[in-house]
Amino acid sequence: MVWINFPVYATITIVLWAISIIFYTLSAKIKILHVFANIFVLLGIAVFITFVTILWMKLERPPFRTLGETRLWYALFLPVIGIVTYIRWKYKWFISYSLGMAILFLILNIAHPENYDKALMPALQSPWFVPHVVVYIFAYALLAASSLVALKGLYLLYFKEFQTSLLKLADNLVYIGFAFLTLGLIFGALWAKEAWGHYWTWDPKETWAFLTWMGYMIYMHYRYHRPANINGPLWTLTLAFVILLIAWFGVNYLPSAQSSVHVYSS
Amino acid sequence: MDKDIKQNKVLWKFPWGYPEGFFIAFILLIVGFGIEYFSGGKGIATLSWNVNAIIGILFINVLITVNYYFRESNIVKFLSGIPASISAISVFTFVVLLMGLTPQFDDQVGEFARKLGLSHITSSWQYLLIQTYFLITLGFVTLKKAIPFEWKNFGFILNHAGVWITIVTASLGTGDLKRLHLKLDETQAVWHAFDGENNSYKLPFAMKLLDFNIEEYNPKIALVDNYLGSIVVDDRVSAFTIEKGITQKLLDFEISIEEYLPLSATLGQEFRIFTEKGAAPSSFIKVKNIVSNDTISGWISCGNFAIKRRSLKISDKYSLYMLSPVAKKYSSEIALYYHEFSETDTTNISDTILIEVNKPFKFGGWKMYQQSYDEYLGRWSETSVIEIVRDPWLPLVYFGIFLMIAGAIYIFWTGQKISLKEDKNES
Repeated sequence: MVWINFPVYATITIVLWAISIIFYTLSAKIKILHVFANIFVLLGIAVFITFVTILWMKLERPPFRTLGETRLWYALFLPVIGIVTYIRWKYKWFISYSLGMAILFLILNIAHPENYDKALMPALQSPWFVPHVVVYIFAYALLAASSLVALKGLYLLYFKEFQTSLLKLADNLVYIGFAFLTLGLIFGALWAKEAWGHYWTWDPKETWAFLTWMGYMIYMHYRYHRPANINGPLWTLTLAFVILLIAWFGVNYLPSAQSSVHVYSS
Repeated sequence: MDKDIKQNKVLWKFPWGYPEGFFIAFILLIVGFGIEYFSGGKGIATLSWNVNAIIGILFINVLITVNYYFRESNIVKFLSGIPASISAISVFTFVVLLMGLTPQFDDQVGEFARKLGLSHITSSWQYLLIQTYFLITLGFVTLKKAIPFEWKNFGFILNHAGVWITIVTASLGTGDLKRLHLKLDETQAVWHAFDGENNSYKLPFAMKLLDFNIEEYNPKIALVDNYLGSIVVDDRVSAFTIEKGITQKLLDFEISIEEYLPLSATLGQEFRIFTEKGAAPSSFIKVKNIVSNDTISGWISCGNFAIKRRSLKISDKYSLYMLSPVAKKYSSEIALYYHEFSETDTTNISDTILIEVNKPFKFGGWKMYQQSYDEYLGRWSETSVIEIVRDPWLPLVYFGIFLMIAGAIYIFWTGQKISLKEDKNES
């Protein structure tokens, strides 16, 4: 089986990335560590790209067809986007989150070798599948973080003393998260055009993804216009997150959504 | 405390703000619902070429002209400001929310809801009016920052123009979008395609199915409860993929796959290799009960339209079944016939093309997708359903999307750069 050396490559990569997480965390005290962390992340990515390249050559086709193969691409894209975001924005929790998720997918692949060949519906065997999902994973992570900030803000506002820097942090998280959200929406549309013949059909999942997009758009415009307001934006952010949760999970349970292509029946 | 006290508390006295903006949006909404209801819930007719193009060009021209000559007027200032934008975005979001909560099928809702257009929101009057308000505010805001052009507004323009172009071209383009399907078989060439309402359209080409190919994953073998008649769903593995020579444990049974024939047919009690139409997968398995040390063996098959399913009872409680294999990929080999120069030209060209799932084929402005096949016959399907799509406005939509992607990357890179200014009235 062509995945024969996978556990070796994966373990090396996991170790490199795990050390990076530890170094990022400790770099608050010992600054130089974050440089090493960056190097280890890049090394891990290089090792991993080597494996994917060899696999691609051995399979004699692009590895986009099975569940195991898609997890490979998650494990690759998550740290790549994570390191780019970290270099630009310096959020340590974000790169740790990306590496943690990537390690999770690698461990899943090592632990379930029989899933390497597991069926992916033909419609899912597209190069757009992974970018669409990965970008949404990031968007949701950033926007979830911003809603945590909002909750903390509401708590401070009502029970303690509010710090205005909190809203600025929320803003930044929302802007970056919104960028990923936009890309996720677009990648989904581009994929739909290739697989199903049209880029937008107001499928319930698409509708709620659009509503999520609009919710955060309202927040950004409100903040731009009334930067001194505190209560309004905090509640807007909270409400937007509720819409996000409906788009993410709720769609499976809404009666209006049972005919959606995104609802997978087992 | 929020310092949201405005200087003008008198409604409709300029400069207009949130109250006026939301008022306008809601009036448009009510008027829209009204027109929709009193026209019997028919919705708006879709406009196609060239009416849609004319409307698009007129719209752009009106926006640019009004922006050029009346930029300093109170109304244009209001429409280019944030209160108008937010009111438009919010009410537009509200209408889409209605769509998210109502099944968008006319036959699935009550009469009242249908007449209000709730089950066909995107072709309703309220949607049209509120979307137009949205596009007007978005258009003015974009023009305000684009003319005169400054590089510091580049990201803003990318994002706002991108959304505007995408929504306008996608909406206007629906009139010219054609999604048709052809049901092909191996006996004749088909020159007509059908839409969702079974209207027929003559095409400038014909297709005939030469061969339908399907690649399937190996079938799975599953443990079934004889009394419940269903697959045992367990925390542990209760089904696995069949491969010749492997042994796998399910609950207290050790199952060895001694033989696997992807294409076979029955010969008495056994299965033999058979590759003609009607062949089904089968497997000879040996099952050892770990507790009692009993062994049982036999042939199993998922069967198909021609061959009866065969399972193996391994105890009072359990049997082993082979599940029907799942498609890995499928495609159609098609003969495509068309006239080289014109419809009346007798020169008939015939090409052989391949259409596979996720790999559509482009021809003559149409994109052809492998949609489905006869699932009853499965791998022996002699019919194939091809969907063909014609979307002439697509390049414009892609242009808008491209701007949005560039704009998204821009936002990612610059983040939020608002300095906390005091309550400046930006309208």
